[in-house]
Amino acid sequence: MRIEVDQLNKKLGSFSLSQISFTLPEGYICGLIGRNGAGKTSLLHLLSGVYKQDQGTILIGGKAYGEKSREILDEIGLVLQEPLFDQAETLYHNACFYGSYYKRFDLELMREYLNRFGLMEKTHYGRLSKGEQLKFQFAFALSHQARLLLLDEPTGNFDLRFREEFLCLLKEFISNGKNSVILSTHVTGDLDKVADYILYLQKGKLRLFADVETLRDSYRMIQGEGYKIRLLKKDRILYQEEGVFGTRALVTAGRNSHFDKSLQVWKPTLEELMYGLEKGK
Amino acid sequence: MKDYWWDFSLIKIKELWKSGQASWVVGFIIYGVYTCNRMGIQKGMVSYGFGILPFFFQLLSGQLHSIKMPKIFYLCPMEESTRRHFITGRMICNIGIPALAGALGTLGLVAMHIADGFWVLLFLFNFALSALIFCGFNGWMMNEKGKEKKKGRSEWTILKETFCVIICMCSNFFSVVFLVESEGNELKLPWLICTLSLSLPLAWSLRKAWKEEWQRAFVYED
Amino acid sequence: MKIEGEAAMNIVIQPQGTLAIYEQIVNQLKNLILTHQLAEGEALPSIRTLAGDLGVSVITTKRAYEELEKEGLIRSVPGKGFYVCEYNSDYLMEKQLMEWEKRLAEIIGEAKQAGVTTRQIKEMVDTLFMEG
Repeated sequence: MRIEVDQLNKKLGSFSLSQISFTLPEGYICGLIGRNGAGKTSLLHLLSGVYKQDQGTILIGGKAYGEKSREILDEIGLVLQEPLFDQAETLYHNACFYGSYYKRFDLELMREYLNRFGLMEKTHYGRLSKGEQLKFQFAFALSHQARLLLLDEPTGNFDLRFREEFLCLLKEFISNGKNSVILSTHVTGDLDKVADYILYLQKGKLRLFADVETLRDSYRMIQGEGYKIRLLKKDRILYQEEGVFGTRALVTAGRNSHFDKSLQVWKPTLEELMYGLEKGK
Repeated sequence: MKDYWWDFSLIKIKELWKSGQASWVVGFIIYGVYTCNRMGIQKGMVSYGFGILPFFFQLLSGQLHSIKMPKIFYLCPMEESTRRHFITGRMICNIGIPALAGALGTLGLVAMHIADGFWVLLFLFNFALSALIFCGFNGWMMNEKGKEKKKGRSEWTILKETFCVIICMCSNFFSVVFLVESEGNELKLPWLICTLSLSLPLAWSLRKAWKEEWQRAFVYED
Repeated sequence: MKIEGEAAMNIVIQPQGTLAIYEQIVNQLKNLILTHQLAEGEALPSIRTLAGDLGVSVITTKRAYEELEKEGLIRSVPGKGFYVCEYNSDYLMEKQLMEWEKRLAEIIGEAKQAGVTTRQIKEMVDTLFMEG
């Protein structure tokens, strides 16, 4: 599912998302990162059609919400931090009831996933722990064979073992080259493993959208003696800090990046990149 | 229907109490004591139980239940007609069940020979009206709050409007009080005046708010 | 990392290594080709399969394959995937040797500046070769 967002604006009380534009080609996992309150959840709500934008366009698989809402919603699987399903009903009832609205819902597939995730279909949804509720939401999304997964910080609630399985499932999900995933998370380590694209939101604005290779090419971490770092052009330095091992800085990489040979240079991990970008501006 | 009873959870009620929105309960308690004092404990409690408590239930229901469907209904790819069916059902529950409580209260009053004939009809009418008003009031309040935020008007305007509505609500409440107080037919006229001049116009004015709420229930907006 | 199917390959990725991940993949695949562990005309794993097995992004493996295609070591067949080119292995080895020579020249230049003698460098090379 190709996602095209153009000049998206949405006011939500005292906070607003402004001028968000990006295109995610089909078949990739996009990591959505940003501080708490940066607008990640709001963006996911806009993409799933629950919120309506004030301005701008959203095209999912070439279709816009409105007349084609039903077609788009049939292809979307959403995992949110809040309990989506009926608390008073069992997992089985919830699955059957809501699954009936999806064209490709497969109850047997649902049962397989429930089994795999260690959930019992006779349990009441309201009695599950937060992590288990998220697992159920995820199982449901996979069972109706969604083509786009929108996930709002699920990994924080999963135990380590399931987290690995979860990431594997995501990779499997996009392996057909047509499905897409947008995964909002704080755990940058997960993104190092699965993300193909990174979307970085800061205070409702899109700070960064790029594929991981371009990103790694565009920035460098350097470490060494402070004065040597300060010799670089000011606008190249995004952030620097003094540490036990000297000065460390996040800089942009130019075409002919030649740094002083005494400086340690390396391509930043996502964590280092996010840290530097957040602290810098 | 199950949702209706689920929404009556203790947690939500506790929240309402904490946020101060349920402070009207105090009014009910005070009036309860007064009634028992005035009419003698037995008769007072019975009239209060059947005549006033349904209002209590209706107010509580009005504050706890809204027409807005849970988020998942907006995420599910269902036909417009199906969604309409769900929203209608929800509306019917939200108005119907409190109205039913009112009708039961009326029956109780009839059984205890406190109300009869003309009064019964008026009572049923009153309860139905109040069910509508109380249910719509909360939604209308949220609506207005949202509009104010967008228009950027001052908070004082909201307070003024809220005050007006509360007065109207009280008139509804007091019309029942008249019945309980009267123990006869002398206060029929004041009651009629109360209902026609305050409750009925209020219900009519909320008509537009109801329509808007209905429209807005089709789209999820926070 | 053993991959079942068309090719049994041993590729090891060091995420925090000095070389970019895609460069590591390129180098290791190149070596497999040059040492004939990957035969001419053999099919390589798809970009997505390789990414999944190595635990890296599809973008990374795509870039690695594109690099190898640029160097003429592999070619892409639309709808089918990537295949090892029929090549003149001597010519490729020659090319690779030239690249290694260039890198060595850089290192030797630096060492000379620091005052390291030819003998010291030769000793270093002997030791390293024995380790490898």
